Order: sequence, then structure tokens, then C-alpha cells
Amino acid sequence: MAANPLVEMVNITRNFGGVHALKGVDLSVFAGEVVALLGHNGAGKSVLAQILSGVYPPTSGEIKVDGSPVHFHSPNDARRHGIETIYQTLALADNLDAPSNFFLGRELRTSLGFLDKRRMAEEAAAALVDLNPNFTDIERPVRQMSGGQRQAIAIARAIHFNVRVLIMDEPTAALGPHETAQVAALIQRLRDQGIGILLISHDVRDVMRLSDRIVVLKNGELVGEVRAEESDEDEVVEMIIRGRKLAPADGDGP
Amino acid sequence: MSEAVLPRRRVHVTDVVTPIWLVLVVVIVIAALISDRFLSPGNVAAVLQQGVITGIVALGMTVVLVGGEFDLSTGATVMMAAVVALLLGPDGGVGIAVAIAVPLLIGAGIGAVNGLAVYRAGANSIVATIGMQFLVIGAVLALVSGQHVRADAIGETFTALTHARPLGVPLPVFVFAALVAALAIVMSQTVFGRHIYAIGGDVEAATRAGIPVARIGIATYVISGVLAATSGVLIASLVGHLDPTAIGGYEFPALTAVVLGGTSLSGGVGRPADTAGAILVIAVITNVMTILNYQYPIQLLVQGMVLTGAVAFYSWRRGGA
Ligand SMILES: Nc1ncnc2c1ncn2[C@@H]1O[C@H](COP(=O)(O)OP(=O)(O)OP(=O)(O)O)[C@@H](O)[C@H]1O
Ligand SMILES: [Mg+2]
Repeated sequence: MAANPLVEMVNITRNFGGVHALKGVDLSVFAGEVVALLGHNGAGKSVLAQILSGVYPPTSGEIKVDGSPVHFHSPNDARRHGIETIYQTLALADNLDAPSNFFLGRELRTSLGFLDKRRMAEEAAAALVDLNPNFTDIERPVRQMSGGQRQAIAIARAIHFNVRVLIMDEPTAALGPHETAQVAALIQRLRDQGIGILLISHDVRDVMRLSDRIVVLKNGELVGEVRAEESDEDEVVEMIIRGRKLAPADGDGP
Repeated sequence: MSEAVLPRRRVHVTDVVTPIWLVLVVVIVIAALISDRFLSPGNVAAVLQQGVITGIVALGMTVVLVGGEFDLSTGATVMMAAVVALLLGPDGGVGIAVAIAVPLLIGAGIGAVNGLAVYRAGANSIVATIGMQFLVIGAVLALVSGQHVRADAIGETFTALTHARPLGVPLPVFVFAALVAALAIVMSQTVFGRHIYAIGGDVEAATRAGIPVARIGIATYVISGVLAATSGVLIASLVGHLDPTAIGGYEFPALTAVVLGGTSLSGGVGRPADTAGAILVIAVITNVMTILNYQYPIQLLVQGMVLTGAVAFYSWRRGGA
């Protein structure tokens, strides 16, 4: 096995009242690796992702970053470890404009301590144009923007601040074919930079093409794990539907 | 990296001149046409003075409401502060500082408890702050056993604080203007203010951005409590004596101004300066009705129409935007 994984989740469980959303899941992401997380609606994908994002703690289990155990009390803690998230809901404040959302929670200040609106607007504009050249008029409430533009903001801010592990929960759900292709290219570019990516998606074909490793959840349990190059669409779809339980994986990791 | 510079957004006229300021101009013109007494210096000062007490309360409620919550305990806090200031009987020197500081501190405490109930315990803010209102009113009435609070001990220096008229303008008007300016800067130019808008816009997004929602929410209530108490201290100084049962009910006129100024009842939108504009509009209308000798029921009727009209207008505009 190569170096330590960037992040490792061990035997994670999560209950919401009587609902057992996760029942002991292991998951790791290595540097420069795209791990796809698949499963039916309600399988527990977003819950697992949000535990890694620091949105809420696991009921039991352990998270390790670079081999050392960590405890996330807020998304800030995860972000401090370079774990960035594009949430399924995007998590944008609709009443604020793009630069405000881009820098939300890590605003730039002037030397006097006030909001540096000009610098935030310029940096956000550059990052957004980088992602989508047609992105104009960024200084209006994001409520007035298209689904694609909103998604671009969520993506742009997640990769702007020294990201090491990027969690993408259905990042192309609101995008057309052209933008979806752009995101695919972005994923490959980030992987080449050594960033670890946890990609949640319903599009099996995309996943086969983009990911190195595929992990399947069903009813809060890990039911399958394969290397993308050693598998095919049919097998993966089969795992999602049947929930084939896999023998302990041998040598998972690049 | 920014060869591809986006067109910088024009500063729209509507960013600076919001509808309420246009309404204010219209109302002033109409008032001046109706009555030639309206623009007399004495009357202008009276108009300004009239709005200040409610206005300061409304500023605090604006901050809380931008965060997405209500503060209906403010009326009771005004009363508490006025009574406490008078009971401390400031007759000069340190006495005055104490008579101002103690009510403000209690106001901050009331705000902190509101904030904890709403942002830590997750209580509904309307219910929690109405509960606080009963609590404060009850405590104050028990404190004075329902008696009129006498002015005997109060020195002239304390009352002179608010009766001073630099440049012919009552001092409380300057206090109000300074508070409007300070809050406008806090809300629009600081990280703290930005986070209040984020919380009012989408708590979940704010939480996920790592914003300390509870701490900031509690701070909005503390601001509101201190501002309501400031109003109470001003009343104490202006009037010099009072019947505790007779003051109260500031929260709804203040809320009217907040809404008239365009602050969204669902949070995330609103500006202190616009609340101030709304306060002036209401003061002008009330003043004209008084000059014209309209009876109280008619005044209420007009205020009700203004409020309902404002809510309808802003809803229509947001829906249409
Ligand atoms: N905050 C919560 N409170 C209670 N139950 C929750 C909460 N979040 C998730 N759940 C439950 O946990 C289970 C897993 O949900 P999760 O959102 O992880 O599904 P998912 O795999 O992301 O599905 P989808 O493909 O629809 O996004 C579901 O049964 C859901 O109802
Ligand atoms: Mg999900």
C-alpha cells in the first residue's frame, strides 16, 4: 500500500433519532484519487459526506486526517484541514451576491478591519470567470441567478482556498451537458494536482469515466467497492440495485 | 490572473435612494402644501424629536430582524430602562453615569437572555420575546409596586441632557443620527454585519460556511436590548417622572417603521438607514395629522393603512424581482 490516505473514516455510524442512516462505514480518500460514492436515494451518501465536512459528528467511529484522529465541531474545522465541500443543496445565502457567498465565513478585510468588498469582488470574479467565462453581473443576489451559475459559485469557492480533499455531492445536478463536461475536466485537473476527491453522483457512466475507485452504499451499509478500471457499468449498477456484499477489499489504494 | 475582468457593476441609483426616501420627499412636500406651519423651525425640530424614541427601538429591531428573528420585548425594555434610570435618581456627577449605565446593562442582559433562548435553545422568537416582555413588565411593576415614579430626586443636569438644543436641534436627534450612522457602517461594512445578513438569508448556508450563528444571533439581541434601554433613558431624561403603566407599546410602532423601511419579515434584507427614513415618514404624517387636529382613531387608521400598504408593496416587489 502506498502512503497514508489523506482522510480515512473508520466504522462510522450515524443515527437520527431512530433512523440508522449509517451502520458502520469505512471510507478513505488518497491524494490524487477520485473516489465515487454511489447508492440509491436515501442510502446515506450525503450523511457520510456531511460527517466528513464537519456539519455534524458521527454517532460513533473515527475520522483521521493524514493518519491522525480529528474531531470536527464545525465545517470550519474540516476546512482548516483542507476538506472543502460542494453541498448537494449548494448552501448559498440567496439574499447575498456572488462575492459574498464566495467568501462567506472567510471574508477579506481592509487594513482597518472593514470588509474589503472591492478585493473580494475582483477575486471572486476572476475565479468565477475561470470556471465559466460567461458569468457576468456577479454582484446581485444569487437568488436571481441560474442553477448553473449558483452551482459555479459553490464549486469555485470550494476549490479556491487550498483544498486537499474535495467533497462533491452531486455537483452537476443543475448543469447542462456543456457545464457537466467542464466539471468533468475540472475533476481531472484537480486530481492531477494531487487533490483527493469524493464524488457523489447518480450518473454511473460519468462515474466510470471519472473515478479511480467506486464505493457503493445501500441502507447505510457499504455493499461494494471496486476499482473503476477493473469494473464496468453493469457490475456497478448491479451492486447498487442488489446490494452485493463484498469480501474485505484487498489492497485498496493506489 | 485577472485578464478576464468582469464589468464592474454600476452603482445603481436604487442602491442609495431606496423607495422610502422617495416617499419621505413626497410626504414632506404634501405636508408643506397642507400646512404652512409644517416647515417652521420649531415644528421641524418637533417632527425629528417625535421619531427618535421609537426610532432607536426600531434600529435594534432592524438588526434582529435582518438576522431573521423578532424582538417584541423591546417595549418592556424601554419601560424598564426609564423606571430604573428614575429610581436611581441621578442628581449629577457619577449619579448620572450610573443612571445611564445600569439600565443599558440590564437592557444588554435582557437581550442576551432573548438571544440564548432563540439561538441556543431554539425557541420561537415571537413567543420567547413576548414571554420576556411579560417578565420584564411584571418585574418593573413589582419593583415600584405600581406607584408613579417621582422626579423629586432628579437633578437638572440629568433632564438637561435631553433638553439641550445644539443648533436648535434637540440633543436626542443627534444621538439617533449617530446611532443610525454607526449601525449603517456595522451592517454594511463589517464581517459581523455581513454574517447577520447571511444568517437571516439562510441559516444552513451560514452554518456550513463556519459562521458562529448562535454567537452572532445573541449579539443582535444584545444590540436591540441596549438600544431599547437607550430609548428608555432618554424618556426618563425628557419627562423626568413617569407612570410605569403608561409607557409601553413601543414595539409595534417600531416594528411598523422597520417594515415600512423595507426590512423583510423573513430575514436577510433590511438597512438601518431605511428604518430611519421610515421613522421620519411616520413622524411627518403623524405631525401633519396633529396639526390638522385629526383625532387619535383616524391617526391609527392612517398608520394601519401605511403598514399594510408597505407590506403589500414590498411583497409585490420581491415577488416581481
Ligand atoms: N438531518 C437528518 N435528520 C434525520 N434524518 C436524516 C437527516 N439527514 C439524513 N437523514 C436520513 O438519513 C438517510 C440517508 O440520507 P442521505 O441524505 O444521506 O441520502 P443520500 O444517499 O444522499 O440520498 P440522495 O441520493 O437522495 O441524495 C435517509 O433515510 C434520510 O432520511
Ligand atoms: Mg444526497
